[in-house]
Amino acid sequence: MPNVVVCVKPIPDPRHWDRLFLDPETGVLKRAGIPPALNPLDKNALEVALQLKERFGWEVTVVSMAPPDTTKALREALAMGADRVYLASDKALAGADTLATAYTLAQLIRKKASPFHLVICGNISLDGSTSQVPAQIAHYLGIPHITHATHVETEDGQLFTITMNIKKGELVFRCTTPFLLAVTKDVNLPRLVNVMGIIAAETKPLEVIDARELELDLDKVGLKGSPTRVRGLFIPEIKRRREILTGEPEEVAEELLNKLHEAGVL
Amino acid sequence: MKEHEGFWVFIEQIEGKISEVGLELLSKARELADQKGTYTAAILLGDFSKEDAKKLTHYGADKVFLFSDERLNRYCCLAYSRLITPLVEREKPEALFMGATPLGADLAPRVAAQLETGLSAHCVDLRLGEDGILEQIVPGFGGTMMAVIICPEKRPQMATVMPGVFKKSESHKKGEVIEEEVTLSGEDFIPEAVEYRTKKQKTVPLEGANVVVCGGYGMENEENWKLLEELASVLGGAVGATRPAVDEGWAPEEVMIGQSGKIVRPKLYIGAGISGVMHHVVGIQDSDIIVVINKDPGAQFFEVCDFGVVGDAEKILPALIEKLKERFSS
Amino acid sequence: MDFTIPEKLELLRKSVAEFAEREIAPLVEDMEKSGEFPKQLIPKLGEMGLLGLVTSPDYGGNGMGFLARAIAIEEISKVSAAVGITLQVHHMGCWPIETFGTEEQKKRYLPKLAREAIGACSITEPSGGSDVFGMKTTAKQEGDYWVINGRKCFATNSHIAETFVIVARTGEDAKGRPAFSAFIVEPDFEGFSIGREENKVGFRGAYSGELIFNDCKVPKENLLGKEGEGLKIALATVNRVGRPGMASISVGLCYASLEEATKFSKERVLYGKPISNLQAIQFLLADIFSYAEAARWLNYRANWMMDQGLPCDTEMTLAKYVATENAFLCARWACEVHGGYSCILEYPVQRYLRDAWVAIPSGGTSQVAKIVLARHVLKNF
Repeated sequence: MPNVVVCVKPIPDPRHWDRLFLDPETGVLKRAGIPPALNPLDKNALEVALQLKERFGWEVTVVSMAPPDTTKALREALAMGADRVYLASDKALAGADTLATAYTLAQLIRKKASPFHLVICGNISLDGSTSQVPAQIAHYLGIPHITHATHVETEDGQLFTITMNIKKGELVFRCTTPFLLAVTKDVNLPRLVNVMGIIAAETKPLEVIDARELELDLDKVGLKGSPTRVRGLFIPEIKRRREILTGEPEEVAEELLNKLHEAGVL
Repeated sequence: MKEHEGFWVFIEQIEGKISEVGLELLSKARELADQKGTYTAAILLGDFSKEDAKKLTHYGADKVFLFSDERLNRYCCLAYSRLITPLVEREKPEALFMGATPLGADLAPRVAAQLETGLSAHCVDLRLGEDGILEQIVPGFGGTMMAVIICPEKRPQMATVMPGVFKKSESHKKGEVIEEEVTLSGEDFIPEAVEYRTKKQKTVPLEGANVVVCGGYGMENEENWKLLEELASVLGGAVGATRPAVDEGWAPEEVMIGQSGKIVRPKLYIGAGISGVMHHVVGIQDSDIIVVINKDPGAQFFEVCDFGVVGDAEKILPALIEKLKERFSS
Repeated sequence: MDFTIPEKLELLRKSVAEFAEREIAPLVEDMEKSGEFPKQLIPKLGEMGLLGLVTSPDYGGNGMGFLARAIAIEEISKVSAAVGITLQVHHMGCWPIETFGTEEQKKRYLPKLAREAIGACSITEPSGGSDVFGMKTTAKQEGDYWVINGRKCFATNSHIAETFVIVARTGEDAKGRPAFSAFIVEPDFEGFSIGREENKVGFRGAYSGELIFNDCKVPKENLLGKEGEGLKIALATVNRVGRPGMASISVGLCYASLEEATKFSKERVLYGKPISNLQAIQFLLADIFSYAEAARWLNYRANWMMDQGLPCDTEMTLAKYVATENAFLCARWACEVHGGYSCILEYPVQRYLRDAWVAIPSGGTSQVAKIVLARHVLKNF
């Protein structure tokens, strides 16, 4: 059965981020008690896949790398309509940066979800906000990638026309499968999970896979396989500056624009 | 690690036009290189002459590596990465920066993966730590948290940096342009970029707008309201309104901001003729920068602003519009 | 004892909350102003599976059950109690058909009600609601029809329902007391019409209107249950579906009050600090939280018992009484946190107060509930 792969990331539910807590002693970010949720853009990615499934009869396979207690969030992907989930979960994978994450996910896709027509990702995760993993997965899979996608069109499910938002304008790409696509929220409005989907999801397969089964090179995963390190975390001061400017219109306008430029918002 | 030297910048261009962010990064690279006593370099791809490339030396580049080819004028990730990665492997810079723009965010991770090195995203600052390692400051959790990222072993240290955080500056150091050979075949241009479209200048929707210009009852009349629209269009932003302004009929209800309207989180919010009651403030308080223009120095709104202008919006706004137009045209 | 909410019900809560935010929240202001129910919402409620929550899969529903229903109505009512009551009374129109109906009746009505049509159950008359013997509407058998005369009032979903379960007097029992029977009525039956629509202080956007029976001809196969079982059907529906429905709406209002009050207290600055720093405000928040939790868990227990097939009439009444009263208190406290802002229509807390006020007499006043509870106490303690 032709296959479309969707990569998702469970993140601490953004509705509860006010509960995030930075331990001043250890500098470690505490997220205890915040339930996991699917990264919002991953739902847009899943929606693209589900629409392709409805048109071409493809199966939708969801892959993820996360601690095992995130299956609750992954179940939501099944309730939306995905056919199965593979979750790479292992102590050896902890502490991975984007490179190690991409390597692991690419290996998971190779082992469990190949062959595939398309790999689809959300363009950016709300918590890490790097937007680096999609292109790096594509590198490890040896396929082209297109990120920042706002429109996805295809007649036959092989040749795709993808619009990439590059802010100042748009680039239109043509690409034949297989390739990797990372989508923005403009691409669609993800369907809501309904009661029938929730009931159906209960019996769909959700498989947790460890590092050994994935035959990973353990030097390339987890903290060990991550070139970057977090040296520290801090909470930015968000005090308002309350600088009051007075004077003739011409002068204050000039002064204000200079200040705005310094603040990096012009 | 001694053999890795130099701070490099990828110069982004769109359809042959060089983006500001590359120049901004060059000035930062210059600063870091001077601190460390090393050199800076720029990578430029596209349909450029040696003279074009030479101009980058005015912005702080000691070396400019130029891949001159018409086909490279339009971005293609595989083609770009297949030229940049071997060059970096050959020259061994200690750091490589790109803009945290869509193109930079598309290209940098692929190059980093090819080089098997670390990359940090959307940096808002770069600095050298006491140990000489590059510290990259990145926002996480929607900016509620900042992280200091380092890449202790692998080289180059790579980062994408938000546009606008550094200032471009001209320096008069002399530099050289090194022309590189473009060895690419058609298979390298995948996916194929078939078209570039500039965006139509339509009004930006309030949600997601980077700039929101908002007016209140103090705008006094419909004539003055047009100033807000003009300012928003110069800034590429959207116009919002308070409830009293909507009730006056100066703006449609869809653009009402506040408790019973929309919540906005722009990078820049400018509020004119607004007293700053709770109903409105809750709709804008997560903006990065809040500018308040009000003729009443005692207006409550000044208490939550970053920059407050005491003055008549009717006079301040035209001055702002004129000065912005001057800046953008130069 | 296990108070863990199952994973699938947590997912249901999240999904319904997203649905309410996306599809219902933008409609609330208009519902408040016009008092009209947005009909375009009905197929969407069907697609979400909310119309079919208590209908079994055999008849086109999903049968997720009463605890699921409690959670769904709670989340809907956090955004709009008016949509909450529309949905809850719809379920009151489905459940008696599945529980007491014939195979033909179930096949004829339930699949449509589970997908795309709104149902209703109407008992109250101008002469009384809880005083069931005061019901004056009559039904007489004439050939192949029952001919119904009389009127129902405060009938929820009056103007949008495609099926009404109603109860009418059909004679006397052996002891000479009035006997009642239940019927399934469709709006296009001859002699049936919809009367006036009430202009309510709360639940604005949910219809409460009159049903008028003027020699209304109901085919005899539309008798629900046996002749003379009307009272049993009506009471079972009110006790087991109506009261937990009102309780669920009220729990939603409790939490809506809690969220709005907390949010406001963190944003509102007085004396240079957010008012959430003031103990006087903290006490109000603590009260809202306590009363909300108490209402929620009484309601979950009663609905869980219903799902287990346990007798639960007392627990349902208890949940309804406590939840509706608590919703009013929570809304009032939330208004106190808001101070003068609670008087402004832009702030939703005043709506919660009005909705909670209407929830109290719906499905029987608190005094009626207390009679039921006192009877239980005197018998069992």
